[in-house]
Amino acid sequence: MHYIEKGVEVLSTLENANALGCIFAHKHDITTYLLENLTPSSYIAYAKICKSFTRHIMHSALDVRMRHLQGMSAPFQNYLEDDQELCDQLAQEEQGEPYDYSPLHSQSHHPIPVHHNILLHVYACKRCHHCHKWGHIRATCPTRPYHRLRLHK
Amino acid sequence: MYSQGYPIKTCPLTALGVDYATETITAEQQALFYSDTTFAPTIDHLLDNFCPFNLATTIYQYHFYKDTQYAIQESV
Repeated sequence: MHYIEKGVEVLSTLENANALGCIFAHKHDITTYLLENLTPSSYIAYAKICKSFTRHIMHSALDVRMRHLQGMSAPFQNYLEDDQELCDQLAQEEQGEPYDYSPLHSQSHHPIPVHHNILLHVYACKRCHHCHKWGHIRATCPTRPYHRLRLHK
Repeated sequence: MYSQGYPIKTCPLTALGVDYATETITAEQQALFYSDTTFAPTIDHLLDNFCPFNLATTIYQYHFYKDTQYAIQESV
């Protein structure tokens, strides 16, 4: 009973400190780490919790000024809206069925260009140094596929 | 010797409250603070690298209380 009470007390402190806002301020870092180091099922479990929180978050864990999720940049906004779709993709892949990553399928929903076999969300807040568009990096830029071919020769 | 003779000042490491209304943490959202979930290593990574010490300490303290509570419940 003592530990339950202490746990509730600490939880109340976390609530008052907007700990969830602190954590979700680094949503992109969490997603990147999850997709690179852990299994898709862990991302699904995290995304379900994340979707239930749609209020204010902080600028960062060190800067506690508030901002609303609506005020985020466009790639981040797309990234938040597409969480459900990513969950579906990962769940389908876990069941052993290959998901169709073709550009036609994805571009109907994403304004961000799609690169084959690379999840968009990893680069959702990155900006390409080649074409200056959001959503991918120079190495995966769709406007310069010849670069990779030249490297292999 | 370094710091010899100087008074040692300490303060408790607890998360500082913010000056605006915050949302109540639901039972589902509490899972973010559990240490036995599948995504727990990610939260640990976040706390170690991006969060201030007071917040990380408070969350680790919550881990300790919950883990102890579950250990006692299992042993009973």
